[in-house]
Amino acid sequence: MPSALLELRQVSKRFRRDDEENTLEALGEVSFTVQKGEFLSIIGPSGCGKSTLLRIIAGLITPSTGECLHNGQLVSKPSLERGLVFQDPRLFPWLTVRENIGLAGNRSEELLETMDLQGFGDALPHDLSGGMASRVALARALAPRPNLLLLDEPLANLDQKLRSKLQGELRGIWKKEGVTCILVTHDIEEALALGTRLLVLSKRPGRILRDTPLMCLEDREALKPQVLAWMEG
Amino acid sequence: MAKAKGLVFPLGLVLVWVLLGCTGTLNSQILPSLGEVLETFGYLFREGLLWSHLSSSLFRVFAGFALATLVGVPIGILMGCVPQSREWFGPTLHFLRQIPPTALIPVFLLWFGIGEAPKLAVIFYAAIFPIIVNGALGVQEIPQDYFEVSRVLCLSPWKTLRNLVIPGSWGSVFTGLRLGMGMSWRAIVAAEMLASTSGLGYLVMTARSLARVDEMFVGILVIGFMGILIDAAFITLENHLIPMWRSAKRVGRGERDAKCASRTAPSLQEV
Repeated sequence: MPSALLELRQVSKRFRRDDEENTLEALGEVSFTVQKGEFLSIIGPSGCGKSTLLRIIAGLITPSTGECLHNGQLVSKPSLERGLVFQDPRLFPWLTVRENIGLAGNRSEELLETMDLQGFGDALPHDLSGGMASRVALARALAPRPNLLLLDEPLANLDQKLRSKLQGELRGIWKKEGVTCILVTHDIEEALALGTRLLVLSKRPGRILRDTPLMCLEDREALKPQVLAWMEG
Repeated sequence: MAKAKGLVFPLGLVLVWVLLGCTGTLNSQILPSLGEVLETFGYLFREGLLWSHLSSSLFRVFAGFALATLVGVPIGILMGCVPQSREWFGPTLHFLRQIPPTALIPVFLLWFGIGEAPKLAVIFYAAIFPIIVNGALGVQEIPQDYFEVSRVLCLSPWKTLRNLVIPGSWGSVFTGLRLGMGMSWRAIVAAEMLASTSGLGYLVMTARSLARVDEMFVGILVIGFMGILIDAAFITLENHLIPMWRSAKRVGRGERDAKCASRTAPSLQEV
């Protein structure tokens, strides 16, 4: 078996409130691996530590216990090898679309084309629709050619129609760029539509309830009620 | 419409002043009529005296203000970027800014002698605090989410400064510059009243000693109008220099994004 692109070993995360001695366990001990080329969907109820998990993988925070290895290297800080797309686009409002994309890479023109944003390179973020802003955020994360793309509910703020459209585009980009993706979402349909594998987290502190591959379309459809039951159970 | 409303009161005052002048009830040794003040204004203007005093004051203000900008903006940005610097230097800064610049005129005269230096020091002192405080606030007000983006993209400190800190704090920095300029203008007049042989403050004080109340009023009105003109120039400059910041702030996807709290509650500390 080839060595995993990403490996989490009993990773947990606790937080302490400023005014309290008690700690809040956001994420239970979680272990899993991600192989190159996978599209892993992580789903779980609100507050189960999905985003915390993604932030640990991104290197924005360190785990309270356990370790996270990317390409065999311990993750201790952010790296251009890991791209992160936040729930909100977080585009710098004073930079143009081209400048935002080019912050950490020099493939703005190529990505403007890939994301169907030709003609908007000189636009400012506040001139863009929600869907376009999400695409720019995705392009910005892809610009440094990461081998692992972390998606923290990037389509959550969009309406259903636009979401479906962008889900298709996201899957296309995953194939075209050959980047391994980890998507965190609370939307079952999105998780099933995009992933090649599904990880279901329990309520806080999040622990892995199920880790299952997603095969053909029929399988995905059939899984929907089951996933709901896992999450509720 | 709002601007027109703001003109009603001063125009009313001018009208009362004119009417009192017409009735002949005004004592010109206490309050000269508007006609007399305008006549003196014309005389001082034609003789070049007004411009001479005004240019002296403007030169001092802009020189001291430029120096305060050069020193204050980097300090403000640094204090905004480095929280520890606020802990170390914040209380001292807070103490110093409570001391009015005019209270330091005797000290500056003692240290720098007579001449331009003490006046420049007064201007510098008056302008630098609003510049520092607003610069620091401007950086602090940049949403932490943007700094997180900078971390994720592994931007260098220089690139973060250029692409995030400077443009992100520019609106607040500019407000500090505007306030600093206003403070400078007020301070220079006070400084010239106490230790000068030229400038608008000197004009007012000399007129008082010579019992030229009309000249005094010319000086006072010119000071007020110049203050308004400088402030208006700053607002115009601000509108031209940072329109996209303003529109971004107003329309605010950036701001909306900023309000989306970080997924880790800020009141929580990592363990």
